[in-house]
Amino acid sequence: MKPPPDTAFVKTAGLKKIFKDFWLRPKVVALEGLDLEILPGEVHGLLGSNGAGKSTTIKLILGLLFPTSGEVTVFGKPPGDVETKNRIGYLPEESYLYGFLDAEEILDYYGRLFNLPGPTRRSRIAELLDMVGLQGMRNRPLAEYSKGMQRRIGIAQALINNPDLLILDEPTTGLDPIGAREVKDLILRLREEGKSVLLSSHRLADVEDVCDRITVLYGGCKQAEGTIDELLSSPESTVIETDRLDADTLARIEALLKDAGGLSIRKTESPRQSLENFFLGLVEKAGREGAETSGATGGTGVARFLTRERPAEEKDAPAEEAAD
Amino acid sequence: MISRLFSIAGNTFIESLRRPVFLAVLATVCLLLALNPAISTLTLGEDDRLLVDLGLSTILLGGIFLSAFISTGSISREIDSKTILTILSKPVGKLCFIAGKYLGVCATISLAGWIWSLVFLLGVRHGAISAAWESSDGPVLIFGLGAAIISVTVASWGNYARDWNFATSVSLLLAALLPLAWTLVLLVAKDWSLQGLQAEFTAEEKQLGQVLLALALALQALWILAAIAIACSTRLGQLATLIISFGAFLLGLSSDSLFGGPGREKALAKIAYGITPNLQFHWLADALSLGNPASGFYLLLVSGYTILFIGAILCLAAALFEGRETG
Repeated sequence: MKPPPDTAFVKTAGLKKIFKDFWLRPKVVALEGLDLEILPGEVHGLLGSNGAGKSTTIKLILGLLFPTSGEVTVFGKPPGDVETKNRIGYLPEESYLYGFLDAEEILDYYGRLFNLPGPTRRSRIAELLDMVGLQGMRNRPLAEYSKGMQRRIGIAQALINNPDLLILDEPTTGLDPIGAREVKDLILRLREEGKSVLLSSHRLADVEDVCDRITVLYGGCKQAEGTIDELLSSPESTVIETDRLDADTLARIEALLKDAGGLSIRKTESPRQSLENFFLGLVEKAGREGAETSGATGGTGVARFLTRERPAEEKDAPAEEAAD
Repeated sequence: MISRLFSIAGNTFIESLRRPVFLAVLATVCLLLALNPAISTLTLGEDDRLLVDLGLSTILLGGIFLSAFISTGSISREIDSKTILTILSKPVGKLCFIAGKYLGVCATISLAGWIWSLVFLLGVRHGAISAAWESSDGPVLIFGLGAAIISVTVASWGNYARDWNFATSVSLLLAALLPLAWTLVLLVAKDWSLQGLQAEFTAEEKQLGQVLLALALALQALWILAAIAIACSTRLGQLATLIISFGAFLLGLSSDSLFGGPGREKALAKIAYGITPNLQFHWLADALSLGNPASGFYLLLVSGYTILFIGAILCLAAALFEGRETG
């Protein structure tokens, strides 16, 4: 699936980044000639081992690093363009937050940086805190939050501006299974709303679950790119899932396959429930029975302002940008 | 851009107030200024001169310490802790970021300067206790201590009952109550009789107007040093910034003697004189003790110098930061 070049939200061509030492001698080649395109409404995964160049790519897209050579455009403009950033949400690889602020204060601060009007800011903060399950802890300093709770606030701050392009660097790191599941649900929901997501992750299962296309990096070079189906489908075999079969039925199927061309059953198994589903079931049950927790609770689904169901007044609310 | 600028300034201001070092420096300097009338008795016949000298020096040095701790790390700390990633990935230009940080640091230093100045002015009104038979100034003690006690009590209650940050609330309460205390002190004479507001200003031995002028200029010196610290902080770590800031302070106080002497006509001396902040413009204590009053026009001239110098330093800071990678 090759996109028409003008429609890509993000486009890099021959992107190269070399980190230099104090004497300006090349020290590390972090990225080598990367061509990448992120289309509207797609979830694009960046996969790679440690030091493969994933975070460097993201920082180049955001204009936080400068390329050694090559080009980057974001919404058709250079990455340093300040106004373009109104359309971007970014979650860094760790939740770098101001520990002296509480959840409400920090979201309000970030909302102000987007010039969101006061009422919009307040309603979005409430919705986001509900979404990430931290409404009950909104007045506690972030320094007292656990790593997972900080991650949830990090996700909330990345969404405060209802971005068209969401860049998530290792979003599920530090999150419990409920949080990780909610992030994946969120990404899928945002895709339904027509937004693009660039997801960098070590967790292969996360990438596989939500990404439309993936780019695999190793040593700063692109090793593979394509849709999940293109890269992962295995046309040499077929899997059929059905209710449990007895030994007699299996023997009859085997015979049928043999008649059909000398095929045989290579593997049969009775799949068990995944640990993730088992755990989520237990937590949901405890929540229903009213068990108390001093930590994060399950979120209440995607914040309304991120969806097409958002209130009319918010759709029409102009940013204070014009006043500037 | 303006609202973003003030958001960054506000956040820097809150961060600075909530750092333990702010309260530590604020309280130490307040205590030294409160003890100033007692310490100033150590000279013979020059008590009130020493009172002003010592007070101004304490405020300037306290401000330098505060500036050293707050300004020097304000940008490098954001880079080291990587909080800058979440700021510059939003629609915030680097110039806006630098200017916002500077305004926030200046607001913090100004708040501390405001509180110290009022404690100092209460001390000036009290005067040095030069003889055993001299009694204390009742209104100063009652109103000054009253403001301090109310501030600490309310802030403690707020911290206990409402989770208010103690350092922030006590500073803001002091900033609001001390002017009230000083105004009351101006209205009530030492013997508790009522007097006009102008009475203290017209008392010749107090030179109150000149003291206010000196305080305003000392605060401007701190703003200059904060700008230098911010500029260094864009490229250097906290320790290097600290060293350069102290160097600039020392050079600034001796700029005239170092570069304005016999060799002043040499090009190098002219350049050095031009780029070094001349903090002697801002130091009125010597002129006060020599009986050379400064005029309002002098204040305007020095304020112009301050604004231009800060503008130039912040432009340099923006240029240094623009080319810096922050990822």
